[in-house]
Amino acid sequence: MFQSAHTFVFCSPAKVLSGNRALENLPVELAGMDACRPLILTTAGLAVRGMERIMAGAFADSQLTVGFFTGVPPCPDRELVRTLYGLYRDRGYDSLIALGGGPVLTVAKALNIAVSGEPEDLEAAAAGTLESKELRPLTAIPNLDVSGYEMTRYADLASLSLTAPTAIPGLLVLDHRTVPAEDRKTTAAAALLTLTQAVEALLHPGRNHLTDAYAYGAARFIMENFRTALKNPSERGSRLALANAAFFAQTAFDNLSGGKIFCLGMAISRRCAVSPGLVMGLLLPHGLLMEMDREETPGKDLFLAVGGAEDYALVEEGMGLRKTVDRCVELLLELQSLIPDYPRSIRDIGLKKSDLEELPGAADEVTGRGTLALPEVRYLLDKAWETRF
Amino acid sequence: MRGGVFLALCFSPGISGDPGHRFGGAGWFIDGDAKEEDCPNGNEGEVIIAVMESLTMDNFREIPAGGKPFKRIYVALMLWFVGRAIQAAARVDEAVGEEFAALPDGFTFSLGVLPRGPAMIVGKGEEGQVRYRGWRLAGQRIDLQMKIKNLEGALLMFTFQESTAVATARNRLIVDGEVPAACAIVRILDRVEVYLLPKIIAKLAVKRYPDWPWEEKVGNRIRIYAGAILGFR
Repeated sequence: MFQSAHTFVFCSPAKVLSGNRALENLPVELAGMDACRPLILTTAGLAVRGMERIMAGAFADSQLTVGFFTGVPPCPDRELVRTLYGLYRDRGYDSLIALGGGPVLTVAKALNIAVSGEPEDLEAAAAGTLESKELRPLTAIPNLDVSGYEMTRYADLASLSLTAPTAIPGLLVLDHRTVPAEDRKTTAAAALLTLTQAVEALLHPGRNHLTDAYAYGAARFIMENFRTALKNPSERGSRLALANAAFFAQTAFDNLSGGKIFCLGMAISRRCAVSPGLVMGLLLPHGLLMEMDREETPGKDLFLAVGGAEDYALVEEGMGLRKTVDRCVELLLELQSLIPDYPRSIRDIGLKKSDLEELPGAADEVTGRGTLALPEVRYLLDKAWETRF
Repeated sequence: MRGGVFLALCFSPGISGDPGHRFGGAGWFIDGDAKEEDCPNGNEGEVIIAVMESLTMDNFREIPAGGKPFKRIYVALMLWFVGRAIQAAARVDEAVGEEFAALPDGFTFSLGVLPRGPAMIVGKGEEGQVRYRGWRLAGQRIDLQMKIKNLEGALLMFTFQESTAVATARNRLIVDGEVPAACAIVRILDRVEVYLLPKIIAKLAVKRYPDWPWEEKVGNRIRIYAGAILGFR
């Protein structure tokens, strides 16, 4: 079943606080990390949605003063990190809180590397040589606008690709107030990105019992909650479940690596400026069909995660992967019925035929990638180009 | 975690501005449109600081933590009343008395809210009598501290949206002391809540609502209420 059942390494350094009023634990958790002067980073979009008031409420009665920076753009650069570096040092902050998804966590990780040592440490992180340097406390409070890298060691800061195992936030807080209802497309993209990371972790040759457990949890949370999250966004439990699933899948991903669906999805999303989850959803059935030819593919295990225990019990031997593909296609069709402008093919997101040649090479440069067989990536791309769901 | 340690951890790092370090070194941060050659007359530091301030001040502010006075007052009142009710229940209810009898003489416990209260302190005297000892932790020897991590968690407990058992399961409490003693205190709190609250609310506050004879329950309830309000010992 596994390459080596008893010899593996697994790392998940984050403490997770999830649920009602989890945010109010921040002061006591920060005190436990020797921190009492946090700088909160977020985007202008989240700030106008009342996050400042919510965060101020979480720190009420704590006698702390917190810094609140609301200027993280969608594509942050080194200039911003430099600015925040000065702000952090001059005002005597001692910890960071990243409130929001992808770009906020990217800036927070880069800034934390810089302020925990020297700015030059970022060069070491870009070279992948910043292995064990302990960093200052970093708390992540992500929402559903996920990039897939939030709770991982990776951060893409403009042209700089950082990799530092200690950059993974030490504390993750998931509270329904900080996971607000997003539009259907964003929620669907988050669900599909998470599902892709989970499925690829379950198919990864280097998987172990713990990555399987995390990936299984992520897939089940997604399959059981995405419908409610889309149809009734005000239902807080389902939103929180999706946010938890993203953490599970990212942890499995961080311990393994991105597969061809993830890497190609990322490459296409950057080329066409669309959410990576939407692209990965379109690639997922094709990627799974390619796995059917492999003898060692754990198809039935995969269907247990995607289809659930009851349907799993009814599946015949050797049909697990086929059933998983069917379930993924059903999921796509359901999303198309719920979201009017949901893409039916990678042609619908602005991809051109001329882009197909360059995309396998771009996929091979995606942060967190594993070893990619470029002919397979090309085949996957061709199949996705030909298909319209 | 002890209260003293908790406060001691909140140090100020005293990091001062260090422009030379910030913009010096290998010049990693000098990129894009803020290159050193863009700063004539050798005052590049001032130019960069001006750029930095214009970038940050629009999007940055410091928020002092406010307070929640009404919630604090409500929780303080509840703790005061429950503390006095425990004192009365130790005398009135046999099971509560037995729980206290099993604890060592002089045993004192507190139930409070982090980071700065309110709290209640209940202690057992040298002769076994149970006393509510107020809310000031300073100067008291506390054997068992039960600390609710924040005021909102305390409010969930004292508005009976969460039972003590559920709050513990949801990691809302920190216990500093012996676990068996903490379990005894939780059992005592459960019994006291059953006496203090009407059944419909008490069912939310305790793990399992007990099936006591009604005359015993009503009789003890009156005596505990009288003891808590009038402070009988």
